Amino acid sequence: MTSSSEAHPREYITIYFNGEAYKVPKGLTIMKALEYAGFRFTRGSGCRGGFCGACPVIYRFPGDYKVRVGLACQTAVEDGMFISLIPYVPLVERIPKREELKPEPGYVVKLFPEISRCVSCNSCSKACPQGLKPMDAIQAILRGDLKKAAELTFECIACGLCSLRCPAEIRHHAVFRLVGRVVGVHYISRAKSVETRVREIESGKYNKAFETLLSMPMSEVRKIYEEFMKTGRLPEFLEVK
Amino acid sequence: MQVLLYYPGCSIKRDFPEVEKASLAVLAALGYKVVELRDWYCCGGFPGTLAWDHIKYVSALRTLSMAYQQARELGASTIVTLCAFCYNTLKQASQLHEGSLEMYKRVADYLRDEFEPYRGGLRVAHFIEILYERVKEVAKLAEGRLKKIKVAAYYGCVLLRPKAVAVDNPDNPRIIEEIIKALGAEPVTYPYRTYCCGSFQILAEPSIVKRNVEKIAASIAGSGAEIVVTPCQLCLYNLRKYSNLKILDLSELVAYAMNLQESLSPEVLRAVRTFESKT
Repeated sequence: MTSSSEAHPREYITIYFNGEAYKVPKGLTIMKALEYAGFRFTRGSGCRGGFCGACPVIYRFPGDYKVRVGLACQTAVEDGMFISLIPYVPLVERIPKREELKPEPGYVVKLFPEISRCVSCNSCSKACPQGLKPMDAIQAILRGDLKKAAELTFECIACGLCSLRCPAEIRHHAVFRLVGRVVGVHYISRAKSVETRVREIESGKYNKAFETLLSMPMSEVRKIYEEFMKTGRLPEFLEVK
Repeated sequence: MQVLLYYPGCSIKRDFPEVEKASLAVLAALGYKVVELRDWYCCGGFPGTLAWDHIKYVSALRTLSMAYQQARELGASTIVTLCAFCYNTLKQASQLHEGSLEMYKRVADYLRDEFEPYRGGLRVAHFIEILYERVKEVAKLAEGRLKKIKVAAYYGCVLLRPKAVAVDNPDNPRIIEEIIKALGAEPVTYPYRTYCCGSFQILAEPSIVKRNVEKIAASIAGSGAEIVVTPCQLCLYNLRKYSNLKILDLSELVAYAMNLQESLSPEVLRAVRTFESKT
């Protein structure tokens, strides 16, 4: 143990968090580094894989006016970082139920009037840790192109950083959720195959097969599974025509 | 084939798709290849109407910066707009680097970490400027189809003011009258043809728009015009709202005269049907 750490001596850097300096090993993510420094995350930490959007973070370097943003679980610490965690961005908005959604361009603006205050400063797109273009999406909504807006924001992880940076106080991810739903309900044709299958399930076509399967001992189910993985064949009672 | 970059603008896309259809049909008939910009944003005209500030130009300069890259790829040099407000804002933004550099630097600083800010190289043109340049071809294609019809041109203000971006002499513009003549029709003049219709006050104080439109409408009524054309869609909206004038977007009358009926909406065709017995 000691010999290997002497062969590769650990490099330490200094980061600043809540006004205090901490020496942490180089190469850690911000989240790991803060845990190394003794903090325990009870909020603002989720999947630790860059997908859930729970750990947005903003930071700056001395002598540089740029506000930098990222996800604490994805951003590596650098020497001299001044860090602030944003565990929660207040974006309280009720998204209407499916049957209330209207496929009209003006509908989104009605529920979120602030989007017409967009001055195209692009602060939102510069803040997005996913590399999306929230401004382009807001602009698309303003010109009535909801489909494009939904496409542009499909990968939004709702971290809220864009809304924190927005001078127009737009509630981006709430807007995008609404747009996604309107487009899903009104603009995208529904898959026929799914509808057919749902109807079949509702009619009870598969009930008997399921009941049989569920009443079997686990070892039998495993045998069916292994046989299926090997040959692609199912026992007759599961082949519902 | 000459390529024109096309900046549509939000209101054209959202509220005036029929103007877009007619205008693009006319440009195609004149032999242009019209390519819509890959990326474009609100010109900034609307926030700009609320507060006069450099932020008004950030969006326009971004659009121009991106358009410049696309123009290089396509070998284009002109960016055409159909909306008078978009024209005004983009044209002003395209001249920033030629004027007081203080304003240009303030605006460009917002864009520096995105890309090299626009510094000239594109010509911003309104649809009617393109028509005017090609007025002989317009006349040839129109074949005098609108003979004996009296048409009043209503300019509005944003294509003529401020002077630095005016498409023609702001005090006595002729360009739409020349286009009307090319269609075979007879342009009529009247005192209020460049008087402001009240513009975006339609949102804040509609009574101003009503008052102005009534003056304009009375002035047109005295001119003997059978139909009014305007190149500005906000004027079109306001004049339709507060007057009974028969009024079209200029592009629609041109499309009709150039026999591009399939590009016109049923409403426009109804409005121009009365001409058919005359011509």
